[in-house]
Amino acid sequence: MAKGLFATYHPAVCMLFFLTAICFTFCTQHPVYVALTCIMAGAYLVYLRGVRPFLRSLGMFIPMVLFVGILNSLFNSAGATSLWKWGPFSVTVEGMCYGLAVGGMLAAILLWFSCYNEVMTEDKFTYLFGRKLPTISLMVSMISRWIPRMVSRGHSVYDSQEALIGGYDQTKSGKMKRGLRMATVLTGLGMEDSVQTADSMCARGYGATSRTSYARFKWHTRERIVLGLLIVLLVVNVVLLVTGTGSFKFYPRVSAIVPLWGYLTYALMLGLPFLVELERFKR
Amino acid sequence: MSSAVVNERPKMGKFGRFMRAIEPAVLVALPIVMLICAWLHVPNAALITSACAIVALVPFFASFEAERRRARDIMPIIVMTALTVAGRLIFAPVPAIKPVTALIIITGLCFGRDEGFITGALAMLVSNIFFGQGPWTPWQMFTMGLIGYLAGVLGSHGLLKHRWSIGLFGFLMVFLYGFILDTWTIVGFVSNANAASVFTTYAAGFANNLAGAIGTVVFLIPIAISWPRMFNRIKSKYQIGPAA
Repeated sequence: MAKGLFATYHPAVCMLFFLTAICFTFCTQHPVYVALTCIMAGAYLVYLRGVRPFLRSLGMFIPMVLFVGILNSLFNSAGATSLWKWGPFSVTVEGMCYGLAVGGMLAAILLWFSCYNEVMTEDKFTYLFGRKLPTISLMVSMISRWIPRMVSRGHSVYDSQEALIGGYDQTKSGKMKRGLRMATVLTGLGMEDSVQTADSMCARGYGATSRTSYARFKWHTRERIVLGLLIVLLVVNVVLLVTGTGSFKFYPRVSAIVPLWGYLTYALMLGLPFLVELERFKR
Repeated sequence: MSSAVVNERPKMGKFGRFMRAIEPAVLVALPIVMLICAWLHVPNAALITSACAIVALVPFFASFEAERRRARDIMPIIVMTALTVAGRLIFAPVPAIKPVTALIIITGLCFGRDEGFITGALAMLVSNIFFGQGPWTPWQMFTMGLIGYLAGVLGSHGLLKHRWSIGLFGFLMVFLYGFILDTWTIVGFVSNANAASVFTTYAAGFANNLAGAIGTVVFLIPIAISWPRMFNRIKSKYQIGPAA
């Protein structure tokens, strides 16, 4: 279970929030917006996972973010203030600012997805989509069960192969041959096992009626309040974005950043996981 | 609906048949939509193309759901997906070389195009639970599904019968996968893409793709003949697949 009150909310609320956050992050390269979404996503991930795991996941993102940032700043001849030029490469101040913004945007998206992974666990996903996609969602949960099963079956196949024929051929080709044989045995065994599972499912009435599901999640007053708040903030931010608060010119020259109230509503929207924590003070 | 329990598959409704019919069109349309986005310099291309990829997955999943399959007909997909994900996890420390493409190709080849697509798509969806979901997930699902689908199509036309033709197909498919994903990176995240930035992106992926392609051939060649034989035996033994 993920940390924090927000993770205990109805999956639909959480899903809408993450969809909103990710879509908005995708939509604007405005430096203030990018900075806000980076900070909010980073703060929430730190809150969910703690500082050290956060830094570890940050280390995984950095190469990709750097690649995209550098790619955008190196090969961009649209800027006016040229720093350096060589053949097709031309570095401009504007290009670098843009690269920074796009890199930050990508980092924020990756951070939001990490938060999503923490909060929207598989059971919530299945709860949301189990009715619409009964077969697929059943398959996803069965696959998750079969992965550890495959691994443990793999160990027993390995052990019995070792006991029967192992230990003779320690060369590389011998090992590869045994690896191949193991994979083949494991796959065949898995297939035959799976038919047993299928028969057992049939015997218990799989496919006899439409799928039912046990719902752990209910709509309480707090869900309605938070959903309402999210929708209001969403509408306000969409209006602000469309009317130009979120637009920003990098070329030919970087435009100036002016403080606007619109940024506050954006911060409020993305800070929703922290806002719901206010509930604790009510008690 | 007792027909789902007994030994024959219920007929698909109109909706399912329609969804099945537009599958090939969707496979062709999505890359074209991506190129159009690039051509017109559509703003927020990353979001739009990811949304398009999700839409493109709909007909495949919808027609699959509409089939209302028997339990044993979904089992090969579950086993092969679990195997693929386990393979991706086991080979995670080794850069680039993964058995994923090889297993998806064998699945498409032995169990048909739709099984190939669903296995490929689900393998990427489930393995990203471990490797991290991201904006790339829909595109990975679509592309891996496409590979399984193509393997199924070529297999049903009898084109993938020999060890070497299957190996060559796997080799090319890894490059197709890299090409589509790299193109998506350019379209989505590089503004004012010019020849130099496009070239750099493809060049950065080339070594990875080459290693992956060679790895796939190494995985495919030994299993290319023996696994389909094994699967065919299991299919006829347990009457998996559409009733003959």
